[in-house]
Amino acid sequence: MAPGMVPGVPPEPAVIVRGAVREFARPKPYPFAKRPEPFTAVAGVDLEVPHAGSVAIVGESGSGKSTLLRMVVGLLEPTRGDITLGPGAPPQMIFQDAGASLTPWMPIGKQIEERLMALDVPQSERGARVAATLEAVGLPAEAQTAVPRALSGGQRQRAAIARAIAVPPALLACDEPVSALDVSLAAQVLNLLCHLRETLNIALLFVTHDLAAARAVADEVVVMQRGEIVERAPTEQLFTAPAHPYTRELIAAVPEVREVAA
Amino acid sequence: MTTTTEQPPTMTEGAVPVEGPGAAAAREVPTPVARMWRGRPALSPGALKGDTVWHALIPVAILSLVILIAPVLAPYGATEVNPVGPLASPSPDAWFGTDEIGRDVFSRILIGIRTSWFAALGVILLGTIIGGLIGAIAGAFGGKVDMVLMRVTDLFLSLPAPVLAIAVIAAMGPSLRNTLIALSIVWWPWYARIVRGEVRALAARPHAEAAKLAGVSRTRLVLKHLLPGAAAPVIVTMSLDVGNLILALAGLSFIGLGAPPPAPELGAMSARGLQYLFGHPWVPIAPAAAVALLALAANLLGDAINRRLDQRTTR
Repeated sequence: MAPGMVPGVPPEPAVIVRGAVREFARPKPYPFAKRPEPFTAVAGVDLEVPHAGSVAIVGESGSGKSTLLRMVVGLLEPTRGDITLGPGAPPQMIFQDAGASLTPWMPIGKQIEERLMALDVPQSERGARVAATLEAVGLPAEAQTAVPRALSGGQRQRAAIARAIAVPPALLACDEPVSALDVSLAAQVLNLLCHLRETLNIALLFVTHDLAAARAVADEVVVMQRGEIVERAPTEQLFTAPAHPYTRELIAAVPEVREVAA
Repeated sequence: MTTTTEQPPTMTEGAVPVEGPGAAAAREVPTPVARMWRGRPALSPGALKGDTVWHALIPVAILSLVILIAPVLAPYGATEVNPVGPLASPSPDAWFGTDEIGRDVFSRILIGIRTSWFAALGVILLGTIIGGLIGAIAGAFGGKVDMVLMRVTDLFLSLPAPVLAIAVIAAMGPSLRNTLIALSIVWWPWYARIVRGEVRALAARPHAEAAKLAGVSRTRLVLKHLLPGAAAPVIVTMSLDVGNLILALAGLSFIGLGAPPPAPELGAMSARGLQYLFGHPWVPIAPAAAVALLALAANLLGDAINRRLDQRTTR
């Protein structure tokens, strides 16, 4: 049972976002110019990821979905608004380019161990925990001593996931986790994420422009456009009966999804 | 050449093909060792393995051996007089002849090479430590700390080495130690710049952000996730600098800014022997040739290391 859970009481959501706004300062066009209006990447978003739930954020490039994700995990401070995390270990993130998110000269095992160190896991337990984590993500034991470049793209993705779940977080944020992988590898990684969600009670917050991936993984889909949420609905409902014209446009842009949906 | 006449020969013939069957071969990584090298940290035991480095290591290995056992190899002490007498020509009794006082030139050169080599390594090591520390702090903190530290670095960078050496020696008296202090003062800023640039570039990469998110402490982030990435360019600079420093030291000692007279310093020996250039050329030329050989060996090693590590960094 996850920490903070009481039998009979519905568990607290993994994260609650209320009115989150993020602005970025624009550079001055020339010295002594009046500072231009800041660029608003996320314009007042409310979002809730239930305990062990799975929410996908979809939208085109520049819609503010990655910025929202980075605010949720704490890599960016919101300009305004509140982000309340549920109980349990702080959120972790799978980066868009998982290979680049691993330190090139450090063995995978060491990078996983660092995560355990950060949460004060005693040294005597770390070795076994690292081995168990590698097994959980389907990496061979030899990966422990390998540097990232010695692994394949799919293996690097698994290694990044291993570091994120070495101490299971309440929420795992994934920024385009499969957009760099080919179709069969992408399916494997999505299956792995679903499996980890079920076995470890990790909530998933999933940013993607791949609607098929969103459909495979998410319970709820949130559509963002220009920093705002334009539609949110349970996954099947969103694909079978999209309410907002922008959502219909997005779905229409992916022929395969429309065929399946028909 | 083929007998085809459809295309007349042009200026570009013989150039590396940009497209077509030859292109892949032209872009091929030159040696299998280079391919094996990929994915190794800069300081792994395999880092110096590879044909190019081996070729450069031969002179350096001989040199290092000579330097280590120089006092044993040298038939006489640095200030000891060879019984063949002053200004004797090279002979089996005195390989490089003797100088105006009768000291054995060969022995003095051996001991002088040893001094130059260790002095160069010392200045480089000190420069790497001071520069690395300042560069790492500036790169890791950024903002105002970075600006202040880098402006201080620029200040030191603007000092001309010989002028500073004269100032230090005027203030503290001529000695090898003071020359090295003066050189260290002007040498470290280069390392600070390199380390700072690398650390800042690496800090912007996703792996630094991911490590931060994983809860790695700031010190550990800098030491384990950022600084190792600066190792390759620093090692390349260090290895190329050995030659530069040997020349700089010899230059300073040539104009009298090194150790005072009896010390066997290559630049000073050459300068003092200049008056015998025509009658007894071995007195000034032998130490000068030793400087040239030393710098050449150091540069060969530096180039080899440069090539090797470049193959790693250009992916």
